[in-house]
Amino acid sequence: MPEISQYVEVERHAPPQGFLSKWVFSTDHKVIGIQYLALAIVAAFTGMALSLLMRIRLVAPTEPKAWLEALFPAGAPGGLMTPEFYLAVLTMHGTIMVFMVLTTAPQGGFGNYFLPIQIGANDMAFPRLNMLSFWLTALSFVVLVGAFLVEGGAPIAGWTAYPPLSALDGAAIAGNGQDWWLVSIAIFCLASLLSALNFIVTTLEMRTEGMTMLRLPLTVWGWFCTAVIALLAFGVLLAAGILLLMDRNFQTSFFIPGGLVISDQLVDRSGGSPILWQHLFWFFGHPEVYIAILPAMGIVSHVLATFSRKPVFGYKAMILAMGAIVTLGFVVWGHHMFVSGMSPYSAFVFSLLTMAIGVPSAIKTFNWIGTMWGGNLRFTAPMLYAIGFVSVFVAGGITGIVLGQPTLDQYFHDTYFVVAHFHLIMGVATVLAMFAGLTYWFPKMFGRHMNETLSKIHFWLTFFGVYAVFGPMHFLGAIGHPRRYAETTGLNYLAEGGADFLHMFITHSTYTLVAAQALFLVNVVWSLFAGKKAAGDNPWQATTLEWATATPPPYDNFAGRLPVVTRGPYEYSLPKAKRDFAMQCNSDDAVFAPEPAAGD
Amino acid sequence: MAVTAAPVELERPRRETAERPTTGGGGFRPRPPKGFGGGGDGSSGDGFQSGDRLRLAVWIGIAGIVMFFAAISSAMVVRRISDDWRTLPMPPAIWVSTTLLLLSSGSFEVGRRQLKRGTLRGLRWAVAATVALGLGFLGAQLVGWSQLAERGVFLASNPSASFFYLLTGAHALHVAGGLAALGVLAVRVLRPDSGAPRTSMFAAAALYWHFMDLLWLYLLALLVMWG
Repeated sequence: MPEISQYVEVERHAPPQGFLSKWVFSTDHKVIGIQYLALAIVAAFTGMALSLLMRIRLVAPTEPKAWLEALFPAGAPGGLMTPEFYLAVLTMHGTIMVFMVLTTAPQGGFGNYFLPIQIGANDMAFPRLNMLSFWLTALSFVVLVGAFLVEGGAPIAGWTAYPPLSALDGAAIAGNGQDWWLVSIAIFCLASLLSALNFIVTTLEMRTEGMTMLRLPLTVWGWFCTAVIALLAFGVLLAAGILLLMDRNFQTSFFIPGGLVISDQLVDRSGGSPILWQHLFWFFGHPEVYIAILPAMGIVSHVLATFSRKPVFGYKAMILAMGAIVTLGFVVWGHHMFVSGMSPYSAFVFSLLTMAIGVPSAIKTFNWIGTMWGGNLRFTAPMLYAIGFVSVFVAGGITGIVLGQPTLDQYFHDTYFVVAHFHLIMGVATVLAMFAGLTYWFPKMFGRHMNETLSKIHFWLTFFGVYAVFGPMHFLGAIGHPRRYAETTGLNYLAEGGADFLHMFITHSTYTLVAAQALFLVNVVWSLFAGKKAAGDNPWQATTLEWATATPPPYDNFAGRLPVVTRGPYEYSLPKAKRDFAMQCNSDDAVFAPEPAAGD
Repeated sequence: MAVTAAPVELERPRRETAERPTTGGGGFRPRPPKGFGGGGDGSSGDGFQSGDRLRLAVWIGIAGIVMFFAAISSAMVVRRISDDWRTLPMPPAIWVSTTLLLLSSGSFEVGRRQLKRGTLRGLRWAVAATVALGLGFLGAQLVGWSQLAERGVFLASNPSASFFYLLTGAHALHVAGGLAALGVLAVRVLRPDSGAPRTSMFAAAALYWHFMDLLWLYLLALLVMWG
């Protein structure tokens, strides 16, 4: 590896033999990263199929479909989806996407694979703990999907599982679906806590010689900040989940108020507070948004610098902005509860703090634009995805400013406006960054590029597709269309506002968008076996340590020679250098031409 | 490009800054390391299970556990203002368990110091005492729960009882986990060939154990004053 000017020799670790220990119960962070990514892809396509079911129900509530009845005899008797089944699909779509896709892929997937390599370590700090985290996550996914198969079917209380709907058997549906949901989330919390602990210790303790905190790539900062959030947030969700499980199964009354009448029966519980659940849930739930988006921000900064051939504009400002987002993210949860009965004074404070998050977000956005400004732009597929992220991040972020104001939220709360907002900012933005990351790192992970043409077609279809799907939802929200309704027959104001056309447009856009994702899957599989071979170990001429090691990286990442780092992460277009970039492990002699003779 | 790769010693190589070509724009110059950290734990990135790493992991784990109990505590503070809250008389056994847990923290500390000095004989006694006291604590908690049950106070009898069982149960689970870890560690520590890393692993376990102690005192205060 000629790019590594100086290294520290360490003991080598032999790779395990045998299929099981190599590919299934592996302690290698790279294999675990790929396992997380595979899980996320399976979950993403499951969640997407569920969204298709919702879109079909919304535009054709009365058209019987034989295949629906064949697939879901209980959920769609006579080929017509029941409203309860619609809600179950909606709940599972949200839960699968938020937990199993947006939390696993950015952090568990790319973070696991690249954090140790980018800091010059030979593995995570606790490899066996890492394996445990993944298998717990996989188990929680199985339990979650299992909720579809139990008596009564999947829960219908939404991914936020508000009590008393979620707390009382028979309030929504009779059955154990909600219990399975809660057990799944509890397992997921444990997995995420262990994983967060591992990420933090690895970042603090495993950095190679010369890799100071202020020389870390922004990707690593993104994963580190995310791990801090996960560590502090998932314990709260776990606690809330346990309380709700006890309310459901052990006759306690944490969240169930007195005087409830369900199916003409007085419920014999009292004193609980449904609002308490909302506080606990959103104390986790809001930081969860940043668990998804911070690694995405790191990846986008990384990719933009590489293909703009410029250092990241305002590297330290980027880190400070992430720190501000972590801190502020924990004190804004009340903005999800403006209409739940909140003192206007509290609402004012939560609103002000919410607006304050606009500042670090804007710093990041301007710095991304500043990074590209005057750069020698190379419009590769990962670059397009990264630029797409910036666009969607702005489009989805602006509406956050709207919703963060209590007076406006009174109108928009629980309308499609909110659906449009969080899909763009949390879902689509993060997923675009995942595409950027996958196309960027694919040649390092598998030694082959993803097909550039297919990727670009996929990018444009996805980019316009998501605006076509979620753009019109703003208008639906503006005419007062409530979210989570299976149908709106009889609500004449919606029909007069043009809701039918908008729904039809959204559903057809969804078909296109889903087809485009099938194209992506084809691209991944095809490129794995027949993609263009990567030219050398550093095909993008990038600067960070993952590009200094072999392709694909050996079992212990650097074959026993950990690179010594002598410079920052984004030294592109270095004046007087022999090339337009200097890798973190290049010594000055390697970067600069010899001084001309004196008197020259 | 031809660069001679050479291994370096742990001491970080320093370059003479004067020999570097000047850069026109400035700001791109390779700088000597600054900011916090760098070089990780100084163990040249190797050694999967060094003791300091474990102690850091315990500190971080403590942060996560604090958030878990903080969430339940704040739920309790919210819930107790409701009309149906009845003050729960503490079962007498928890005073026994409190004493046992405090003593176990002391014996653990004695053990840690013995290990530091390398006196294996005293260490054996200290570890055995800690395990016994820890088991005694769990036993006393069991007695406490049965004392409540004898009075007809069960999990769902009153929200104050729900929180009592939940908080003490969650804490007991954490103590049980600590005991399991201590058992594994004891076997390793008591081997004659145990070296320095074992000492710091022991220190990490001690940190966790003392935290369990502090956490119990906090929970006890919460339950006695507001339960």
